[in-house]
Amino acid sequence: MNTTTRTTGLLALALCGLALIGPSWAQAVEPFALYEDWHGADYMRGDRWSGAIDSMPEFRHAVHGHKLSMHLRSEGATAANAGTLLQHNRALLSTPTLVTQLLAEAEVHRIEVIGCAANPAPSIIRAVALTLNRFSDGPVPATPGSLVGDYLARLQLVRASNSADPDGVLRLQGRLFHCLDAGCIATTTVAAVDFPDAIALGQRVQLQLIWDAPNNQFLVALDNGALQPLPYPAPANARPSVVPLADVRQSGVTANCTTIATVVDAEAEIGRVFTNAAAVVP
Amino acid sequence: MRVIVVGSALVILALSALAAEAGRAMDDLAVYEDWRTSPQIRGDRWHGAATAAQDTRKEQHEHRAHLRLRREGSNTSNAGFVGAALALATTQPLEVTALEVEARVKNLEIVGCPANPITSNALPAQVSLNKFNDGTPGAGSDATGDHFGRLQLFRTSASTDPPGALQVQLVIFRCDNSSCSAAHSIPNGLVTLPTPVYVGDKVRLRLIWDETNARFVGGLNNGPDVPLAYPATLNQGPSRSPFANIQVLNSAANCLGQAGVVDSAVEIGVVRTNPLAVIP
Repeated sequence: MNTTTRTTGLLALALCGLALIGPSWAQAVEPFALYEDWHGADYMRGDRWSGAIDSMPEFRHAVHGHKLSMHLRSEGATAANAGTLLQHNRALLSTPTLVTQLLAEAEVHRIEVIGCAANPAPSIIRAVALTLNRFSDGPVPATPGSLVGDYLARLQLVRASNSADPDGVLRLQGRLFHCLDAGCIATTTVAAVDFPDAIALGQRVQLQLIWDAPNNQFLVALDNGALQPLPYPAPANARPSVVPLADVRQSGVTANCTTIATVVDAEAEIGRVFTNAAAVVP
Repeated sequence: MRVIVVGSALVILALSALAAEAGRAMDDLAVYEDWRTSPQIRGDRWHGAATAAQDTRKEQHEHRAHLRLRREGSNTSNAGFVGAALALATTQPLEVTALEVEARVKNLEIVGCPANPITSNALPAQVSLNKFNDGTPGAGSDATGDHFGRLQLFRTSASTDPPGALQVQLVIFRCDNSSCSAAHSIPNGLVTLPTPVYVGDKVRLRLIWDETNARFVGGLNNGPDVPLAYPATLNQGPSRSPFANIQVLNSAANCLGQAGVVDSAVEIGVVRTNPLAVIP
């Protein structure tokens, strides 16, 4: 099934912003502190942010209008009707080992997802995703740079090419992945939360991802809604991850296809970013 | 020494003006990309990643490709530097033996560090062809021993050139590791072209691999082709990790307090290659 979604969200930032009065303080493990509001400079501050973008035709992460403007566009391979291509556009917080809580204001402006009728795997766009990678149960000694055994917690706004939702609608998912290979391409899903509410293009949301280490779980939430647990077995937290991560990213999974050009494309804006106080870079 | 170069003057030249400049080498080339057959950068013609940078952009807009790369150094040391790269790479590099690129550096900021002997360096436009290997043993796509020619715009934070001036350099590099993240220029493998270019100038950067005569040839606009030879014995076969690309490579000096910075924005116009490499 091919599904194409091309919708430009209304610029409803100002109206929605009036309704957002701040993070859900009462629910957090500790109060959130402001990490970034994009007002201190008209560029990404190097002491707070870095980046890494996989090979793809188009991408962007840059400060514009006191927001972080993000774009990912990828096209699938044409040699087969099997398999997919996974690519990321990452804005990395500079102190990932200090980040236990991450909250970001986000708004998706546009998505395009084209799958392949002959490929059972859909194309998937993750228009905005928060990631924390804090611990591992991988082999010791660990291979430098390898994610084998790491646990990636993620809260992501998703649309798949086989979605039955109306055009312009995304879903919010919480996931805890266990990495099976060095690049964390192969994973098992340890825990999952699917939020019931659809997220529309142009809808400004707050995404919360929290590591609740004492209780062996991550917590995820949308706006000021209840925190939802992503539990893991205590032995999973055997040692710190080799590749600690705290980031805001976009990801695209593009289905390979011999007959048409499959595409994943998303543009989004990131507003204020909050973390636990210890992670803040003044 | 601290040098800041900022330029943002808009210089928009009609494409037809360039056509009128057509020279000998240009006659042998065909249009690979004019950014008019799709509203986005075409995935069948282009790919390429970006590493370790802050503000980063590779997008098509108004019939140009726009490349921006901002890299700040660390502010916790007066030693070393941090580098970042962005590639606009052709998808069939084995077929590319000549690459000519219209480029305009729209903006360039370079901040060095007085206390750091390492300068901040901006290479906002590099045109590269990785074509042969010197026979160094290696498996698969191990680039060790690969040799590539490169025509590049270059400015350092210690430059005494006029503000906004960039040197045009033709270089032959040898890759020193499997990913070619380390490389060095071969002996006598660097020549600086006589005419600099300036921020805001629209220029054509031309690089040709002349395998028969064991040399790369570089040219700027309609200027003379500048040859740069290598020992013929270096070419023991095709490169194992071929590339034909347009790249931005910025490195910022670390600096206590206020880090070094390199921030460049470049506009890429028509790209021409040897006709065989064109993807319809």
